[in-house]
Formats: sequence, structure tokens, C-alpha cells
Amino acid sequence: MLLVAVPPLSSWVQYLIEGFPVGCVFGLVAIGLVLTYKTSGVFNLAFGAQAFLSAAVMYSLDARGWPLWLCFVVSVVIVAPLFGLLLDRALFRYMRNASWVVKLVTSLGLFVALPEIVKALITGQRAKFNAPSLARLFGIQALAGDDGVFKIGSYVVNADLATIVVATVVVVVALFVLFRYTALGLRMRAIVESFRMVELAGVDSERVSMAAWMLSSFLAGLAGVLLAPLISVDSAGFTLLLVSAVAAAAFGRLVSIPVALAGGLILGIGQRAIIGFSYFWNWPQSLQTGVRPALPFLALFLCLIFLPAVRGRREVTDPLSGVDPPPPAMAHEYKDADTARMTKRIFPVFIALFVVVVCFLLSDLWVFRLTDALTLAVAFLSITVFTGLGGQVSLGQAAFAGIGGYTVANLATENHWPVLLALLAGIALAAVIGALLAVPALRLGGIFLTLATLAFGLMADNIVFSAKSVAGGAPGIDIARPSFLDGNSLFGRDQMWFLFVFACFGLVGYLVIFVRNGTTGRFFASLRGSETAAAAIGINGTRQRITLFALSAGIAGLGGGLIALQAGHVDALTFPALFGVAWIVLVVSLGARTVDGALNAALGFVIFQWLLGDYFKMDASIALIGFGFGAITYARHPEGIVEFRTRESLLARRKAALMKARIEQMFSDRPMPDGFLPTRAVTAPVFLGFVALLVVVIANRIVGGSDSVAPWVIALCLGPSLLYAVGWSLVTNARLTRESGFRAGWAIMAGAAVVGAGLGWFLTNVTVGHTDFGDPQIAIVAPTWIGVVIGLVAGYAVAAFFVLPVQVSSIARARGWRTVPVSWMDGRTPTLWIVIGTFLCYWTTKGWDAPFLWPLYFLTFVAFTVLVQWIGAVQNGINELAVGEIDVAPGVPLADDGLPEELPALAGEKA
Amino acid sequence: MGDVTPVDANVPGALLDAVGVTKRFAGITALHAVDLTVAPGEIVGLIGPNGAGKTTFFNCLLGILRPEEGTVRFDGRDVTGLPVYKRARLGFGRTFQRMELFAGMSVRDHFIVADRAHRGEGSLWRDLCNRSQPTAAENERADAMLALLGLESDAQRPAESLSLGRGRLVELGRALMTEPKLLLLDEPSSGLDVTETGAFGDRLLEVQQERGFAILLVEHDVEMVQRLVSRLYVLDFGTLIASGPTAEVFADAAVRKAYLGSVD
Ligand SMILES: Nc1ncnc2c1ncn2[C@@H]1O[C@H](COP(=O)(O)OP(=O)(O)O)[C@@H](O)[C@H]1O
Ligand SMILES: [Mg+2]
Repeated sequence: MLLVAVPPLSSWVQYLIEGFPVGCVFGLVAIGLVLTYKTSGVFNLAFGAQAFLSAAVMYSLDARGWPLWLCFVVSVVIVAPLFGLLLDRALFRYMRNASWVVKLVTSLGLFVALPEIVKALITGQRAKFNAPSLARLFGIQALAGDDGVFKIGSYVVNADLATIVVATVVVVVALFVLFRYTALGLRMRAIVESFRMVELAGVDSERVSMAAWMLSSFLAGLAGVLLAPLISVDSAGFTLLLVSAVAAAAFGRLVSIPVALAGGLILGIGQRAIIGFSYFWNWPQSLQTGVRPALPFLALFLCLIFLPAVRGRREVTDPLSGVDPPPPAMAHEYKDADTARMTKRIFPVFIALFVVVVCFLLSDLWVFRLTDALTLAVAFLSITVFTGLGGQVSLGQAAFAGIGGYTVANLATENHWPVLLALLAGIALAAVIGALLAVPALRLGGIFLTLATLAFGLMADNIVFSAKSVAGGAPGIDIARPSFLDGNSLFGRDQMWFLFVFACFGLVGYLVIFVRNGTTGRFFASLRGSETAAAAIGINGTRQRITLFALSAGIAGLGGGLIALQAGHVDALTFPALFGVAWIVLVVSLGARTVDGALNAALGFVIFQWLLGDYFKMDASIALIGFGFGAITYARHPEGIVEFRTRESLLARRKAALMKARIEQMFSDRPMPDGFLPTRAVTAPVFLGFVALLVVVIANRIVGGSDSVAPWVIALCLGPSLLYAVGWSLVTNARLTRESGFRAGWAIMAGAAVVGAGLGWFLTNVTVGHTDFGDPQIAIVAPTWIGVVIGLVAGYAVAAFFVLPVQVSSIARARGWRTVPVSWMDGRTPTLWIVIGTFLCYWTTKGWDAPFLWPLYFLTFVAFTVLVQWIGAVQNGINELAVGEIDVAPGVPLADDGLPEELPALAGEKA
Repeated sequence: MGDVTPVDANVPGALLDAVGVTKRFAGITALHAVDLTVAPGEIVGLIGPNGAGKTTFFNCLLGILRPEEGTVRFDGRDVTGLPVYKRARLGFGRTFQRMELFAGMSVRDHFIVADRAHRGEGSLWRDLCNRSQPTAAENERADAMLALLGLESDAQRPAESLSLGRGRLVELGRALMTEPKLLLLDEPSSGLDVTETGAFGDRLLEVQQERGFAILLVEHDVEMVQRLVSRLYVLDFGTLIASGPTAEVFADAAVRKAYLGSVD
């Protein structure tokens, strides 16, 4: 009888009146989504964050007492479009032809980073505030009755809602005029309707997409300030706005502007109506409170699953890119037989050493952190499967991890299951739910699937994970680790747990590799390459897709279970949906296709957060900014940074082998050409300095029983090496300048040295007020002369890092080579280490505790390795100049010994 | 209609028997009641100007598109409702007009994947036990196919790095690895030069004679059609306008008008 009764007509009208304005806001953002998607191919999930940006600017200016109209102009008319312009010019312009995954991940990076930037720079971490009402501004307040509301018959509309409607009507009319009557608008509409046609017709699509970015960012900004008075302004509120707008855009298949607007209105009214029904029908309290925040996600999910226009769009959906460019070959495929054998032999030793070091040398705190990273790495492997093998992007992995985590907590603690059994149950449950999710999502592809997983993740977080029966309400649920890991005479408790997690990671890592190399991985790769062709050879795409979902969800479930056990506690905030987004950004930018990509991402996440939180006393969420920007590098290396580096170093090895072969072939009976020096002989003296330091430190540890070494000892060990490096670079630059004639190199290096010295003087003399640490103090506590000397060397070094490679590459180019032996980009890494080193110096003066010395030595080791590599790269380049171009394009077939079948000819021979 | 032998539906013993296949796309009728049969081991041609509906017909045969009307019988059973992969397992093989290679995968892996998919031997469980490396028998079959098509030197190269001609051979090999009873070839010579087309035809004939499967060939290259095909269907605007022995059909005036664009 509950469902039969219908609310009276007056309630319906009330829903309509109250839902309509909210729908307008959804519609505005949805229009922006469609505009940018169609004109630049970017489905910009950051519009919610951009709305937040404008609302925050508006609020903070208002709080400073600026006149309201000025606040509005600055935040909506100036900041919002300018930000859109910035995004287009600085980022998305370079991704026009990239695959949809690249664009999506970049916008996800912004989605994650932007709210944190806004909080850090504008609003402060207290992210909620009450935004000023705009009703006064447009004179709408004045039109309202005495009690500040409008009355239409017996219905009441408050002024803020009325403002929204008025503003939306104005904007829609303006858009109509723009699209109908202006040249720019016509072009924009033409692009939205058919990009390819317009390209053919020679319209300058660059300018149009720039305009579209500005326009849609303006719409997002406007939506932000309009919505702000209605909701308490925090970034989560704007995530909801975004999700609703995405659902609205999905109504129009992401391509129709009017339908997107209509979709927004329907959603706004529908959401209000459902809330109304829930009161009217007197739904249970839990449902009433649960349904409200869940509505946008539910709407998005249902839209995606049931709208026929969206279903069945499995083919490439990015309107701009034709077909996804094939992923570059995996780095390990470039390995020659020797390297592969070596790796195989060294790997177990390395693992054993790692375990010994962790269990017997590191403090419990470090063991804990490493375990933290490993639990996360297991969860990240689910992304390796879903994205790396399956080629799809899921934003819902945190939800599957949550399913695993909460299952463990509930079964082990509340129902007293054995922990391992509970863990297995968690994996199974996550896998089953993953498989079930695969069924409605079967017909979805590309971006639509991603959006569905986002909706799924948010639903799980907001409806299920917040339920008291799942996460144990406010106190949460404590979980004990399995008792067989209690620790014994050899290994402590934390160490045993570390070993267990490490074993889990190793196991899953190997399984992922097996799957990748096995039938399933090959079938996934086929489906990724062409679903039609895969079906035409008899591959059952449906079954493979369910396998993909279940496998990945199961791994995420295990990861979540381990995360829960590691923390020893779960509550409603353990697996926020936002994690799912941050994770994908992280893993994809570091390398979604390999196990070490996942591991690196997890280590980076944990160490970064810990450094920021514990050492720099910053809010740990700042880390998200860094990761957000990490995603942007993804555009350049879609295979992930780790993969990219691995391949580079393998290519360098191959080049070295070729060089050796050529020298044996050409110069066995005549003297080596001018300028040639064996690279190892050149780099050895640099490394010697570090070896000396290592010996001293270890001896000091064994004999003196202390970790710290006097500064003069460090200087004595490292000084000569550094001097040698400086000397080498001076001599080398002199020799290279003779051929290249690039005399500006000297001036650049001298200038940088002077600037560095000046900076050194400044930092050792100037006092800075440091509010966190009390009184103002010297920035770096060290004698001025040391500051000047270090600054001099560092400044010179940074310049040299770039000048020397530029010398070599300009000589190569002048000779008409197709490749450059070494490029200026090789200077970036050592520069980064100089920056990190300076930063560390700065922070060491704030007094670090002893355990940190070991990481410090480790960082010194890494920095020296980088320096040695850089010198080696430059010397290799010079050697190549001496013996002739060696082109190691990937794809040149290799013989068994790692050499191509034919050696490239010498430059001299061709002439 | 040309004055050629009328098409007879429901030929007993036919390998493929399509009857009254009709496919409409929003407004246009891409195929209008098309009947077509292929006997086991026979090479049949399907020609027609661009946009006539040849590719659409292939898609209907294989189940990539669902025809509004008509039935497709294959090897004695009605396959009209079956999904693509099931039809493939029954013995359809297919190459694509716009090449559909698996980017990032080596040529050899293309063949191994096709072999596995056809035999249905791999399973997730075997993968997890790391027992999914290609077996000796699989390697042998893949090597034999590489040798047959002269692709040995490209075996390890990723498919997308191959030339168009080599790529078409890979598609052919991938289809052949599934041991099809009927091979659907969609304009295999498009994008190839004369020598490449000749070489492709040679290889195809060689394999076909060895294995004896049937072929339904869509092709613009008249020479290739005349060389390979014994019987021909002509499609124009979604309607069959002629069918019969190759020479007769080419002599048909209506065909010359529709297909060659001239009646000289
Ligand atoms: N997916 C589709 N949606 C709408 N029209 C289509 C689709 N596929 C093909 N067509 C139309 O059907 C007709 C036949 O196309 P097609 O089978 O590709 O011709 P052919 O292969 O003979 O050149 C063409 O007019 C084409 O535009
Ligand atoms: Mg065609």
C-alpha cells in the first residue's frame, strides 16, 4: 500500500520548482563537458574541481570585503576562462592525437590535484565555507518579497534558486545566439557535430577548441558560484556536481548540447522528486539518508547501463583519435640474451638481500612503511591487470579493495573466522561482485566504462561503506593479524607480517606475469587490438571481459584485505572513492603494464606521503598534487615512466654492445680515433669517492658503533671525486667547443656558477622567519664560505649538465646524423638531484634523527650513480662522435648475442 | 536482372546458404533479400561497386551485424542467431577490408592466439599455473603457417610495423590458423601493388588447393577474380543483379554497366 499512494499535485509542483534550478546547474556543467569533449577530445572530469576553484575565489575575495560584483567578475569572468585557456594551451593542446586514456588520465590528475591546490593556496584546509549569495548582485533580491523569497501562488522559491534560473536562462539565450549567429559559434557547433568534416573544410580547429575550453570553463565557474550558496562549499560537493553533470551529458551520448541541458534538468528535478517521495512514503530512515547522496551516482550508473544510445558504443569513442596507437613494445622485449640471463641469476640474490636488510637492519618503523607500500602494491596490481592487460580504465578499484577489507574485518572480528579464511572470502566476494559488474558494463567501452566504474566506486563508498553494519560506524572495527605471524626468536612481529605481505605481493606479481604471458593475457591483447577480429577467430569477448573484471577485482580485494590488516583497523574512511581515482593516476603514470610499475607507484605513494606528513609537517593530501602532476607526464610516456626508463637503459646497453663490436671491427689494427676514451675509465674516479665514503661509514658503524660521520670526513671522501668531475667537464667542454663553436657554453656555465655562489652566500647569511619553528633563523646553518663554494659548484654543475649534451648533439646534427648521441634532456635528472640535495641540506639543519642518516647515505648513493651515469652518457656520446653514428631504433632485429644482423655503416664509408 | 542463371535457394549439400538476407541502416536498405550459396571447397566471388553492401553482407554472415530478415545456414545448421565467436568456431574464417591486426602483438603470436582460440585449449587456471607457454605442437603449426605464407623473417615483428602486403598475409594466416571451412576475404588486394596482389593470389591458391576449404571473395581486382573464382555474384545497391560462372557474368551487360561503369 506504500507504493500505491501518490503525493498530491502540489508536492509535484514543489519538486519541480525546487529541482529545476539545481538541474540548471547540472546542465551548465554538462554543456561544458560536451563542448570540450567534442572540440578537443578531452572528457574533462576536472570541471567539478574548476567549479570549486571559482567558488573558492569568490568566497575568499568576498571575505576580504571586495564588492560582490567584483568578486563575481574576477572569479567567473576572469579566473574561470583563463584557467580553461591555461589548461588548453599548456596541456591538452599537446594531446590532440593522443589516445583517450592519455587525455582521461590527465584530466583525472587535475581532478585529484586541483582541489588540493585550491585548499593549499586559497581556502586553507578548512575546506568548507558559506559562499555569498548572488541574489543581491543581479538585483533579484530586490525583486523578492519582504521575507526574501518569491511566492508563486502558494509555492515558495528562495532568491538563490531564482538567481540560478535567471542566470541559466541568460546563459542559454547567449549560447543560442552564439551558436546560431556568430562565426565562432557556428564553427564550434560544426565541430561538435562532425569533427572530421570540419577538419576537411579547413576550419582552424585550434582556435575553436581554445574558445571551447574558455567557454566551458566559464560555464563550470558560473555553475560553481551559483551552486555554492546551496551546498556547503567543499570539494566533495563539487565532485557530486561533476557526477550529475556527467550523467546529464551521458543522456546526450556526450555529444548533444541541448540533450545534455535537458538531461541536467531531468536529473535535478528527478533527484528532488525522489527525495520527496522518500519522505512521503516514509521510507526507512537508513534508506532516506542513504538515497540522497547516492542519487547522482545511481543516475549516472543507470544512464550508462540503460540508455540505448550509450550502450553498444564499444568501439573507439574518442571523437578525435581514430584508433588507439598501439602500446610500445614492453621494455623487456629489448633485452638481449646476456642481460636476460644476468637478471635471472641476480634476481633471487637481490630478493634474498632485500629480505635480510629489511628484517635485520631496518628499524621497525621502516619495516612498517615498507609493508604499507607492499599492501598498496598488491591493490595496484589490480590496475596492472585491468588497465595494463585489459586496456580499460577503472576508477572503482578502491571499492573492490574496500569489499576485501570490510569482509576481512567483519568475518574475522565480528564472526571470529580465521583471518586467512576471511581474507580468501574477501577475495572471492570482490571477484564475484567484479564479475557481476562486468555483466551490465559488457556493452560499455572506453570512457563510458570508466564513468560507470566511477559511479560504482562512489556508490559503494557513499551507500555501502558508510553503513554501520559494514564499517562499524564511528568506532570502526579493529582487526588482529593471524596468530601464526606473531613473531618468533628470529623475526619480530612486524617482520613476520612484512614477510607475509611480501610473499603475497610476490605471488600475485608472478600470477599477473603468468596471466600476461599466458592464454588469457594474449586474448586480452587481441581484444584490445580488435574486438571484431578477436571474435572472428573464436575468442569469446564476453567471457574474457568477465574474467578481466573478476581477476582484477579479486586482486584488489586481496590488496584491500591486506591494507585493513596492516592498519589493524577499518572504518568508513579507510577506502574512500577518491583513492580509486588517485590510484589509477599514480599507477598509470608510473607504469600500468608491469609489476615493477605497480611496486614503484606504491613505494612512491607511501614514501612521499610520509616525507610530507612526518618530516615537512604538511598536510599529506598535498601529495595528491604531486601525483596529479605525475599524471601529466603520462601524456609523454604512455607506457609509464618506469617502463620508459627501463627501455631507455636497455637501448643504451644495446648501443654500448654495438659500439664495442664496431671498435673491434674497425679499429683492431689502427689507433683509436681522436677524442675516444673508454667510458669506464672516465667514470671510475667519480665512483671511487662514493666507495670511499661507504667504506668509512660501514667501518664507523662496525668499529665506532655510530652512524654519523664527521662532515670533514665526508668532504674528504667526496671532494676529490667532485673536483675530478668538474675538471673533466671543463676539459671536455673545451674540446667540444673546438668543433661545435658553441662558445656561449662557457658564458652560461660561468654565469650559473656566479648565480649559484650568490645563492649560497644568501642562504647562509639571510635570516628567515620560520613560523613553524619559532624564531627567525639562518636559512642554512653553515659557514658562508661553504655555502659559496657549494653554490659555485652546484650552479656550474647544473649548467654543465645541459651544455655538454647540447655540444654533442649540435655537433651530431651539424654532421647530418639522424639520431643524437645524447640530448639536453639527459641533464634533467642530475639537476633534479642537485635540487633534492639542496633541499635535504636545508632540512638536515633542522635536526634530523639518527635513523634518517641511512636513507641520507642512500640518497647520496643514488645521486652519485646519477652523476656517473650522466658523465658516462656524455662520454658515450663523444665516443660515438668519434666512431660514427650508431642507430638503435627499436625493432631492428637482433641476433642472439644482442647485435643487429648488420652493423650500420660508418659515416665515412657512406661518403 | 541480367539473363544469367537464377540463384537457387536452399541448395542441398551447400556449405553456406544465405537466404533473403536483408539489412537496413537508418533509412537505407544496405542489403535487399540477398541469396547466396557456397559449396564445400568452392571459390566464389562477390563483386559490386563501392557501397554496394558487400562488407555489410560479410558482417551479416559472421554475425557482426544482425540482418532484419533472412537466414544464414552453415554446414547444415541454422547459425542466424549465433554470436560471432561461435560461428568462427564452426568454421568461418575472415579477413577485413580495413585491416584489423592486433597492434603490439608479434606475427607469430597472432598465429598462436588464433590456434589457441580455435582449439579452445588455454584456460585461466593453466595460466595461473604458468603452464601456458606455446606447446611444441603449437609452435610447429605456427612455424608451418609462417613458412607457408613466407612470413618467417617477420615472425617476431609487431604487426603494426609490417607493410600493407605483409599485413594482409598475416590476416590470412590468422584466419587459416582456425582451420576454416569457409574463408571470407574482403578486398584482400586493396592497397597492394600488382606484384603483391599476384603473390597474394599465388599463396592463396596454393593453400586452398592443399587444404580444400571454400572461399567467398570480395575483390575489385578483375584479374584476380578471373584467376581464382569459378562462380560469381554481383551486388549493386544491396541487390543481387547477377550470378553465374565468372566468364558469363563478366559478359553480362547489366554487370558491365553497374560494375565497370560502361557498356562498350
Ligand atoms: N554501420 C553502418 N551504419 C550506417 N550505414 C552503414 C553502416 N555500414 C555500412 N553502411 C552503409 O551501407 C552501405 C553498404 O556499405 P558496405 O557494405 O561497406 O559497401 P561495400 O563493402 O560494398 O563497399 C553503404 O551505403 C554504407 O554507407
Ligand atoms: Mg567493403
